[in-house]
Amino acid sequence: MRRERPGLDPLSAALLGAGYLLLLIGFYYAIKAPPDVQQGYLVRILYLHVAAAWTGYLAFIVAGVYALLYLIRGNPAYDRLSAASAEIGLWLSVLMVIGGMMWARPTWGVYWVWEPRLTSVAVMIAIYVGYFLVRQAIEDPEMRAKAAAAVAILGVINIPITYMSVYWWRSIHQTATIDVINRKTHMPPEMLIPLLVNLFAFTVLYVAFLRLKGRIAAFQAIVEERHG
Amino acid sequence: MGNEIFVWVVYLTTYAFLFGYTAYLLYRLGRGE
Repeated sequence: MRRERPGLDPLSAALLGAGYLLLLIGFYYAIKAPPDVQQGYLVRILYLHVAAAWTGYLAFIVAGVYALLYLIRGNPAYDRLSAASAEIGLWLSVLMVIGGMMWARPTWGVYWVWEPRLTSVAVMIAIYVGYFLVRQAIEDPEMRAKAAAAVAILGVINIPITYMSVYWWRSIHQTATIDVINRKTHMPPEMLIPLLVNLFAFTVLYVAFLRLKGRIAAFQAIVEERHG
Repeated sequence: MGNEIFVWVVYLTTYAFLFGYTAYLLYRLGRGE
């Protein structure tokens, strides 16, 4: 009997290729970027740290939107995509925390401090770890999807709190590199370009990962249905 | 400076994760059932 495989579709392959090409260009610009006046070459951590943070937020927001769509329409495909996006978001957040810790040690003198931004990030990660615990704990697919959707929507509420934490409370963490609310940045172009290229690379890779994970989950669902 | 090690840890960890995760997803896609 021939083995059935979900396989790699052309669009996902193109997205993966484009994502890695952009990542390479981003690396080139990051290496070329000048050192910061205060932080020297440590500032290079920013290009990956901010890119991972933003795409992590994006992944969690997308997970919340799919969760809401699942609750409205009841289509299991939305639940699968919500779970896929939450998983990628969780991994990106872990990368963001590793980057942040490696940046904090030489600049703040510690790897971790319980200040508002880091605490709200810890809460964010705890919510999504909880999301997967909920998915593991409930066997009935419909109940599992509904409970997980509730957690994913709750998680989205925490994202603006995390983002705004550096403005709302007295924080040791620096404020936003690109202030999306006031549409301002204090970065020179030679530092802004590597950040934007890396951000774009991460976003394209996120979309590619989401498509691949979605295909795997859809294929699994078909197999499970067939075998009961 | 001597702090470059932190930069390289971040870059290597990030790229290793991205390559590893891509390889894992492609493996899962190709394996099938």
